[in-house]
Amino acid sequence: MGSSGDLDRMIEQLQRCEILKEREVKTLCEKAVEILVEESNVQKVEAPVTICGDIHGQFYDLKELFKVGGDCPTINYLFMGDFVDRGFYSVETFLLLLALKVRYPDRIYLIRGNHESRQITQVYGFYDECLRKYGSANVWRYCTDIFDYLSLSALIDNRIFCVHGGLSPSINTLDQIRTIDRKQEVPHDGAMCDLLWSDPDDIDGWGLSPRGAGYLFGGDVCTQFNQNNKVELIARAHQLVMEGYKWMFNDQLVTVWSAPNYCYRCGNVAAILELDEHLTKSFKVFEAAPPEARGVPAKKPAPDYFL
Amino acid sequence: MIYGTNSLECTHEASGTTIRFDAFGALQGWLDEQAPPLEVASAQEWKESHDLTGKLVVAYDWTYTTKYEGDLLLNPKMLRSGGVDICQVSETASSDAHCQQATQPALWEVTEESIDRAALMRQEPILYFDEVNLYESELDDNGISRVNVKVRVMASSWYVLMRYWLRADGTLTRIRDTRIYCPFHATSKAMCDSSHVIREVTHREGNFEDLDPKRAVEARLNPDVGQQFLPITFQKVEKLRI
Repeated sequence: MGSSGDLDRMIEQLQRCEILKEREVKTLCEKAVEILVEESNVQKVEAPVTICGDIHGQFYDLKELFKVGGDCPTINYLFMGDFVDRGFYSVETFLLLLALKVRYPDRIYLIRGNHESRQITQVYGFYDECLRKYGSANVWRYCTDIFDYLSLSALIDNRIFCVHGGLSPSINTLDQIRTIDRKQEVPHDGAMCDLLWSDPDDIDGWGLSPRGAGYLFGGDVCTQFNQNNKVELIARAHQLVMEGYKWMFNDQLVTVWSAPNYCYRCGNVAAILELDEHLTKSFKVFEAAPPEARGVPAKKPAPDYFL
Repeated sequence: MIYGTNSLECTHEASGTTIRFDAFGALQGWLDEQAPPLEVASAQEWKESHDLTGKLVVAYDWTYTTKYEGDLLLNPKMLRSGGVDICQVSETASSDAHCQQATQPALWEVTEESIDRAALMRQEPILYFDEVNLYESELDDNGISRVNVKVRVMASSWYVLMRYWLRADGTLTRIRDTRIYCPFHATSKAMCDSSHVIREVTHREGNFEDLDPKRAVEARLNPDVGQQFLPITFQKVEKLRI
């Protein structure tokens, strides 16, 4: 690749929702590793920046997001993970974001979500999509290798902490996050797992999910963490919110969700959180791209001789 | 995700008796059921490797298992609309000389009959088909839980399948089907004292450990396939008396 001209051509191609050749993906990923490996587990980001939540392979809705929020690199972006799975275009979605990252490393930041994992993508669509579009698992392998290099969190102007899922009982300070060896598959337990999986809830202290695995954290935990680390806000994604964003714990935490009409049937709107250079917050809410923009027409289910 | 505006209603026009499926009924069935707690496959390992001292264990049925079998509305027009509708409905009922029992509440009664599967398997054109979701959850990436209703109408009958389907990855699959079948040819005269609307409720539950791995994957992902391999845990057949 070498030149930004090659990259620009790839970006243009991906913006038309056309996949790259397998060897181009390989080269792009090699380049991306060089950039991502230098990033901290708590990546420093400067405002102004626009914070985005889950995308889940909804490529045409990502284009809608850029239409509403402004193009990269004119606008700086932070994506809080879950780029892939569930939608129809995980390949194009992730590669576009990755190509933008390689082209404009200081203008766009990608942190890891729980779906950026070998195990999860084999169940929820990305693996099958790679097989279908490339005839082999090579592209899935290149991409999941990249996932291991994605940062775990971001800190905007030392005031806003961004993470995909939430907090962990084994993490009190940002420095503890900095010491995690993140270059691995998302483990089943421990701090790294919690950061990508846990959820805020209206409880006191820490809770165990009714499923028997996974943490819930209450407002007091959030307050304590924010005070310990002198941050004013936790921004996270991970959970569908019908209005696109949701404040909790007296505005100490916000969930941002950026996949409109999630799974093409949930009927929710999506949001992005814009921060200006003074960290003034404003949300932009948007709907799914219109059917004529997305190639695949919405259709009624075919009659089925079910029994 | 709750699809609160979705519903399916099948109405017997002469009496106004309606079989209805909607999300709120299905969720009420979840509240009424209080299914015993289920844990994900990794729960034991997870709990052993975490210090849970002082941590609240949040408990509710996260699989949203429901005992819902649809609602029977005796006369929705009378219940829901103004006086004009009541007049219209009572006129309709009294003008039908055969229907002496119009004031008797409709109800489901146990029957020895069963749904005519052979008739349903005939390749007869489907005149109307639809599928509506009532609620679903991705269980925070631990599988899926979903209630949906399918309906098909042919020249000879109509048929509904409401299905609760749970796939708790690494743990179990649970399928609860409510099937309602009504052949048209039988309904015209015999409708008053006994209808031919038959409801069959079947609960199945288990996992696919005994299947060969390839089959097991298909059975897990597709409830139509899965149900063939799951043992029945509960079954009843009823007939609607209008």
